[in-house]
Amino acid sequence: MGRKLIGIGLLVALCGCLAGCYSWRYYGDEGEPLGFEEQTLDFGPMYGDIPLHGEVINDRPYAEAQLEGGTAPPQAWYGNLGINGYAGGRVTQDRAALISLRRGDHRKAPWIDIGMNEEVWIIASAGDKPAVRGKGYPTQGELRAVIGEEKIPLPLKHTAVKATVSAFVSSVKVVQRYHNPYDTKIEAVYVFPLPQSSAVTDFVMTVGDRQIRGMIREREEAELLYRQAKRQGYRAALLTQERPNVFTQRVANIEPGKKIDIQIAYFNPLQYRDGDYEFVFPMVVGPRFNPPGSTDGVGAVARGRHGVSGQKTEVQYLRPGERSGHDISLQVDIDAGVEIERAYSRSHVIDVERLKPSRISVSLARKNTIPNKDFVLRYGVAGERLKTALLVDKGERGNTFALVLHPPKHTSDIPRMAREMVFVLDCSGSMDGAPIEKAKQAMSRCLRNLDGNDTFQVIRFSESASQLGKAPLPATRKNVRHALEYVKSLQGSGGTMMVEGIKAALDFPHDDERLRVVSFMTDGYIGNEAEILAAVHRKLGDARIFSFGVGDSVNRYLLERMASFGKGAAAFVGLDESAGEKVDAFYERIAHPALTDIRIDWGGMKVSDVYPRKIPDIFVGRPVMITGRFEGDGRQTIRLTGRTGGQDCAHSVDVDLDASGAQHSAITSLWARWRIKDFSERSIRDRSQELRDMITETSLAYNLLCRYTAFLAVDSTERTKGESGVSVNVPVPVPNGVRYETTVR
Amino acid sequence: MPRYAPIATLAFMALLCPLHAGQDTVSFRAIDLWVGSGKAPLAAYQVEVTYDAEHVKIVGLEGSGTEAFRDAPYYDRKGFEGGRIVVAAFTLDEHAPTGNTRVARIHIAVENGEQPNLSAKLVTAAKPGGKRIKPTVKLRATASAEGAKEEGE
Repeated sequence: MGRKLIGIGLLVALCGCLAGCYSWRYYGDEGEPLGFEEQTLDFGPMYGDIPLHGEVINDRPYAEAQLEGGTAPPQAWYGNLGINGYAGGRVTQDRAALISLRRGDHRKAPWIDIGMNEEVWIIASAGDKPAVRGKGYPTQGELRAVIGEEKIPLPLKHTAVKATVSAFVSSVKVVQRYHNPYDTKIEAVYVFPLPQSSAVTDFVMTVGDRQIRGMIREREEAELLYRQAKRQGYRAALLTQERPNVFTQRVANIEPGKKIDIQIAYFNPLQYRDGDYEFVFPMVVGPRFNPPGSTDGVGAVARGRHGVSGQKTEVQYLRPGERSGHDISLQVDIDAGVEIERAYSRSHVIDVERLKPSRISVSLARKNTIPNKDFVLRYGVAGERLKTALLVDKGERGNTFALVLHPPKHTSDIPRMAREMVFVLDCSGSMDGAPIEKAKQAMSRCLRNLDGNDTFQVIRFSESASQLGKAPLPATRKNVRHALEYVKSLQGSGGTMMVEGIKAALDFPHDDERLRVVSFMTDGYIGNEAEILAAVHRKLGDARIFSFGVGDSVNRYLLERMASFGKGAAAFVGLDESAGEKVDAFYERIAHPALTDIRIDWGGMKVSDVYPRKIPDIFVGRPVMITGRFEGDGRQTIRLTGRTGGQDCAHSVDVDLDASGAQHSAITSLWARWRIKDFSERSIRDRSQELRDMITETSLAYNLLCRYTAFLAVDSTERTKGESGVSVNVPVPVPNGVRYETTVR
Repeated sequence: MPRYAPIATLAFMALLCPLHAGQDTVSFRAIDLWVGSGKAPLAAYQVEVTYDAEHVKIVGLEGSGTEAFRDAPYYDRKGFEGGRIVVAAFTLDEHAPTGNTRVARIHIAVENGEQPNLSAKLVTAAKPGGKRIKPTVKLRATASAEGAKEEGE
């Protein structure tokens, strides 16, 4: 049953007469609400607050509420709004809206939910005493609500995330708490995401107060041992990787009423995007489309419909109106080394505690705990921070380094080359609703920003692809206007045959006078990533790919990798974010020439096994990380040379390989992760056993999870009684903004 | 009982056989690692455990029931696949244990019909403050969870 609300509010005189009725009051302008369920007649303004689209409060995602009417209609977007008389109306957008009745930190106040197509009216009237802030401010009011929903008992109870960030590396511990709410033994199966560059290095199963560290083994062997342990009644846990950003956790023989904790630890380099560092923790795997005939994808099925997708990996989704008891807590401690000027999240409401100028602790705000979208935290530091940075790890098994290269500052005076802009919009069912509207906003802004010397094309794809014109059009005002109308008419439905979009974008003849820039706008919800990346690699030619991830929980792995293959960059637009800002940053990137043909003279450092093998071009606002093995000590000078806008440029960096501030124990793991990534990318076009063996060897040698290995932990001290029980998949909510009906089987 | 019931049962069981294609080929056991440091408090240890990697697979490393070493110990991956593993842990607990301490439990899978021949050798150990000591080390099979609780905890 979904939420039901009766949306008729009455004057305070009726307050308290009906179930679910809320009333409130303030003592003066600075006062706090005295509490709900309290009939009062007092002073001060009454405030309502409507959350931003996609925000999660009280365990529910909310969309914008379109309310109307009243003498002072609500119009605040975050922050308070004063209401005089009455305000309200029907909720006309998807999901739900809600109203807070408190000023100041409104998120600490009780909330009232109002569902789609339901009405809410806030009615306030002056009391029998003058309002503190002057005439016209209401003093009290009421809302009435009857709330109900179906809660589904599930084996995953809670996820706790604790991250520490130093330099540009995050060390993250994720604890998943499984329990058994049923009356028979179960195996819990949970498909979940982690960042695509994460190096998973540790795995601990906790039974009661006993901790058992898991061992990494070849995947087939680990799976066999897990099955045998499960069959014999031992508690066991198995962690496997399905994609670089999709993992499966299995926990066997959880007895009724018992719980088992699984702790996963990983390192992840932070991204630096357009002036801020970015920490991302994905919370849900989006529902993927798998082309007909494929079996190695990631299926999206309704709760309890195990196996219907025919895919090797399957995610079960909660139906609309269903809620799991699973929630998430998250804390990120950042030590930036220099003053942190700002820290913010557009995806979630956060609490920021400043411990020192250079240290902050960030946590999810209370009640902001539904795991249905990526947590994205950005922070910026003070001063001349964009220096090339080097971190090293000197250990028994040799030395490793990670070098972050920033682009040159002054390139704006170099003339730009005319461009052939190709915009590709994903119009599949998963984009229907808020994501496609956001993508259309972004694309419209791109079209309006076109330079008169450019040509452009607009391509849409779902089951098949079609385009605006037979060939790229000159960016005249008339053509742009025509394109804007075309974009406006596009809707989302059907499957995601992305390969059709790639063919349409890259298969037509190239204009040698122009640089082809292809911009994909998509959520990336496909299960055949390898096929798509292989197609990009085959057809790329001289084009550059700039991918735009649109949505709150997009397939970042696919979008980052497409951009990497396409010598471009990826950007992500959340549903609550301004598409304009992202598009402007995109134009800033392509307006300035990239630093290309980069070569590095390592000076006294003897380097080997450097990844990526070919140093990518560097764009404004997008540094790149290079990692490798080295021999050498003390102070060294690294010299970089490259070309930008047809001109040679050079740059020197002094580093101290023995400086204590340059030491970081995670660097070896990150290097090994890059090595695996390099082999994996080569394996997309070369499926040799040799590459697979090299990936496996690296994984085992550095205790780093990959597709061909698994972490296994068995508690062999005790056999649980009875059969091994049924497998229970942990269903998850569809990502915020994504429609269940168009994406889940 | 119907005349053909036994045949039907056999046929049904035969049909089920493929489902059990992965018959149990291993048994699971636990081995306790004990360190005897006498009167000296034990703050850190490294012990090398060797085993027959062809027939024995380590499937988990557990901490001890002693508060000081409750966290699961770490291991050196270098020799892991070759039948050698270095198990290590340290404690900052003020009350580092003395005497015989079960510092870790090693969970293993043993191929059916094989004996789990494991041996342990001290690499290094230290008291609080880092002063080295030379404790004894030994391995002992854990019969059951109940048995484990009785052993020195």
